[in-house]
Amino acid sequence: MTRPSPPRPAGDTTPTEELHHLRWQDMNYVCRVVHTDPDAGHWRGPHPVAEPLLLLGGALQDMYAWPRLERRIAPHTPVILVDLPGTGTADDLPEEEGFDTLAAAALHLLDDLGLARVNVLGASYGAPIAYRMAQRRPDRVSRLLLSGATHRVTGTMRAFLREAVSHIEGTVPGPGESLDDACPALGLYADRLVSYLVNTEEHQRVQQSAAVQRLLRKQALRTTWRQARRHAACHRRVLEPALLPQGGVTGVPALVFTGEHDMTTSPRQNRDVARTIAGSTMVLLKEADHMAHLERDAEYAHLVLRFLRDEPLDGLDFAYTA
Amino acid sequence: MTFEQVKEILTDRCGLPSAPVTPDAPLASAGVDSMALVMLSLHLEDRFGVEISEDQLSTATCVDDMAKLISRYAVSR
Repeated sequence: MTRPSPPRPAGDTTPTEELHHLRWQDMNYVCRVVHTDPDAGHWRGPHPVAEPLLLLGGALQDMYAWPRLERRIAPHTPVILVDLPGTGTADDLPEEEGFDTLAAAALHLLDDLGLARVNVLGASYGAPIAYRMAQRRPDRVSRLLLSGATHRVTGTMRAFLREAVSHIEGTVPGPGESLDDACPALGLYADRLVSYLVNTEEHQRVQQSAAVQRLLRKQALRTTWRQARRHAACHRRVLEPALLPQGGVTGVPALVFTGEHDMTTSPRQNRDVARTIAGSTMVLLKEADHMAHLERDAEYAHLVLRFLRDEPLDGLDFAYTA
Repeated sequence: MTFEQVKEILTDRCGLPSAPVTPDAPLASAGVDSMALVMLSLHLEDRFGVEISEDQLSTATCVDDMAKLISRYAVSR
């Protein structure tokens, strides 16, 4: 089911969106297609003018969480943002289902929209989904971009996620509270979550670190009981022993990148992922960490656009090419 | 604080494109997202000593209204 865009005045380049309601394996989910072209249908069909960018975001994000990237990319090619099952407004994803199911749901989305090929950007939790799409259906993925990727969550982050899952699943709403009320038990969790997503030890070398920390903390404190349970389910999924299936990816141009100070998925972990993708390019954004899309939003979008246009990535003053 | 001053902060400090930031634009239409509100709040405190949270800023109906709201907080501090 599609909600079309209203008519637009001639010359209007303000991004607009279409909402698409999807259903697959008895699960309802939703995507937004954000574009600036008044002829919104031009990108459909077997010979699109430019492949749209499908954005698969992080575990705690929904399809409205990337306003800055969509604003910068949509004038060049449509951006598809999706609430896959288990996130945002979508139905829950059964506990026994994982990244394989999410990748299949993302591929079903392409069928439903009539898209032969797309560029796919998987960020953090979205990276294992994007990776599977490219591995299984390289014919459907024009370019693969992974931001903040790892084979496995390790170290103190792993211990924290285990503890967070236990904490969230061990608490229930009090008398008179509904699942849509804020979950007050997340106070300490919020502070620790921020400390694992943002490199607080390098905050003076990371742009906008104070603002990002404050934004993440506030968002975590506003988490409802319902959202908290979904977070726990997402945390469980990223605790799988191997986030990426064996066999690598071939035949798809790929960019793997993250902030130089990322401690959630370290540069080394991202590099290890890049090594499994034939011919991939590895880039580190300067003065950024795992939250690079917020800290250096303009540079993040610029890097993505350059890759989508097959432009060289060497010599950028805001990034290192590894 | 004038609309022009707020617009300058939003575009120079908070990374918003200039064109949509007009006096009558609702915050969402002007591109003022949650990150911009936090960055504006931090800048107002650091640069002008005005303590106004992103939640309070988000109550403004448009960018010009936000400028007036900031002015009221600046006077009352």
